[in-house]
Amino acid sequence: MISLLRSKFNRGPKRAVCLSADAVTVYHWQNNDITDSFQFDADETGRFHFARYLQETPLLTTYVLVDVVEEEFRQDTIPHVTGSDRKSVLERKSNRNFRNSPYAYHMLQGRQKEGRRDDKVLLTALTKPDAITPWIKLLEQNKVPLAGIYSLPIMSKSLLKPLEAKSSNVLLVSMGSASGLRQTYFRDQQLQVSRLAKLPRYGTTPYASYVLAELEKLYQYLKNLRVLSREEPLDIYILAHGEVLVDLNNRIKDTSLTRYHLIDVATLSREIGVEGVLTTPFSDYLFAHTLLSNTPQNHYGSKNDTHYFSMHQARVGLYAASILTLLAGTTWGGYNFISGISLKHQSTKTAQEASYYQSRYEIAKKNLPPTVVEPAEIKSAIDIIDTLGQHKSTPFLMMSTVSKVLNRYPSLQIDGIDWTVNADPNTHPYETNSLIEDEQGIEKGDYQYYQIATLKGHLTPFDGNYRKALSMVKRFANTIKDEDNVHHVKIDSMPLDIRPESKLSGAADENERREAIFAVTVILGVANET
Amino acid sequence: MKHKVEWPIIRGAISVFLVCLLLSGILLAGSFFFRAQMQNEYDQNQRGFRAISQKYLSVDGDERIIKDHYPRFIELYNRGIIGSEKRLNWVETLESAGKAIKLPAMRYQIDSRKIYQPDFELTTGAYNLYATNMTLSLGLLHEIDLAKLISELNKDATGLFNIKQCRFSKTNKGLETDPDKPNINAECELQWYSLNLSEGQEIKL
Repeated sequence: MISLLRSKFNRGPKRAVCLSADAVTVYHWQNNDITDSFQFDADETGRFHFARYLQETPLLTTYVLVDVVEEEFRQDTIPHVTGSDRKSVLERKSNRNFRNSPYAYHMLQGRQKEGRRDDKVLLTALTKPDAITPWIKLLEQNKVPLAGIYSLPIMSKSLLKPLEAKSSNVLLVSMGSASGLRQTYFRDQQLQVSRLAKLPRYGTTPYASYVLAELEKLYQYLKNLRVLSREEPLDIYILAHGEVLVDLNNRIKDTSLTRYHLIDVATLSREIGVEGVLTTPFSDYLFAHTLLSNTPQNHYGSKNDTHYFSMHQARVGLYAASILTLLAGTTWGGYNFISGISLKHQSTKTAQEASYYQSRYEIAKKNLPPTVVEPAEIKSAIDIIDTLGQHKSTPFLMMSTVSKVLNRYPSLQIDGIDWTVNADPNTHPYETNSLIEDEQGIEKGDYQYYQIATLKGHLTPFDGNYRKALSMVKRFANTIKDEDNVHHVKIDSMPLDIRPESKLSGAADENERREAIFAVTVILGVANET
Repeated sequence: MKHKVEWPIIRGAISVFLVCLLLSGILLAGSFFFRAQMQNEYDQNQRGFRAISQKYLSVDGDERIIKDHYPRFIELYNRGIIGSEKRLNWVETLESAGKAIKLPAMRYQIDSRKIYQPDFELTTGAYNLYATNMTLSLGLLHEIDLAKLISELNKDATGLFNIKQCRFSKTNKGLETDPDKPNINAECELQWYSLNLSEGQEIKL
């Protein structure tokens, strides 16, 4: 799926600029394959033509692939740190190793197995920037979007997978038409050393003997460096074609220390998707195709170098954002419109139904007798009047209850009655304040409303016996309490106030006229008096 | 060296992006406005539909209400309980009852009509409930005289009233036998109730 997506996104036009010591080759990419190539000499004239070429061609995204002798590789270790610390350590290491080169790169290659378990790092740099910079400047002057500057040896690691080179000692040997013989050594799939040797002009000297001689030199060098794994022989993969391949095949011989794998560059190219047929032993086309089809992470290009590419990406991003914005607006807006239209349809349907019911209602209403208010309000008015009727009251129930009890107490004379009716039993007749100030109040019972009466009276005849008078008033109150529907009875005042908190005065004169006045409040509960 | 932003490269893209943003904004705003309008119209029509369908469905019930309750409604109107109160009738009834019972003394005072909220729960809906206070000061030979007066009012007065409170007091210590001299003074407060539409319209048949 990922490769499919990558393939689809690789269809746009772009180009690879392959820099070597003697020549600069440009490969154009369109529809997932290289379409054209142009070669320029690596000198002033070449640069002049290259500048003209850049002016006359569109501003294509450009990938620079460098294959020069002046590329150094150094193994090092750094403490295992992360983030900005690692970045600054690597920058220091790079500056120390390659003091004057603006084209430096590093690759983390795992950790040491012993000691502090430091990180292993491969530091690389183009140590002669003068060979590169003029070309990069030309690109910049022409505002070409430069995606990155790539190292051919570093990038050649991507060929190990199609070559199925999985052993711990791999030496990849390829030939460049303008650069020479590239020998790159991988230990445990990690690049260790790479060397570029000059090749004679193609056709002047048989390459096989020359290649094998150079291989021997590198082999000795690797032995001296002690980077070769002793557990396995060195697998040497040589990319070539035609007579060179045949010649090599005749000359090589596997030993316990070395194993040769001769790879036809044309076959390998076909396997990785190159559509044309390669007829030379050189791998330039293969590397250019690999770079343009995979577009790996930038190696040597600085932010300044890739500035126009960033701008180009920003432009592409803006166009993409424009499309997305328009798409989102159209989709959301479209949904709203569709939703609105659906609501409109439903609304129209509802209005039609309402109109239908309205006409039916009008017809039905014509058959009803005319009324001054809406029918529902007729019922409401009657309910209100009925409820008021249920609360209609007279003082006669209270009078009847009191009279019945008074018949049993002939010496009690009532001088006055204050009567009222209320839903609250705590209401006092002719007063708005609470009936009993020193109590919590009278709890409501299961009654619709209450009749409240305060009876004021006196004892007659009264012989001055207050004890007897007090007892009689108490008995009177208790007798009323026993009557039906009596909710509460309270003695408001006694013939003699004997409470400790009240003042009491009098005279023991037999001739003085004495009174025994009292007041009692009776509360009747009425469930439904009609 | 720090590169400046190359405006010529991205100017076109920025313009396109801004135009797209503007178009999307207009499209979205327009579509939201349109949808909101349609939603409002739909809600309004739904409410109208619910109201009219409810009315239509209640026609049978309305017919039954009119048949069962409207005669009583008219009767209550004629009795001055719904619509205008009949003060003249109250006064006439009081005076004729006072004469018939031969009350030794009777005075009355009628206050202005006011909106009334009873002390019990009562839902008045589309109506306002009014109460007019009438204070009766009576001289009674016996408590029965008051009962007779109330009975006469109930029978003949056009209106609905309730006795709110009464105060009885004896006039002297002994029993008076002269029919022109009262034994009991009574002061009673009556409330006469009436209903009218709460919007201020007078109900008129």
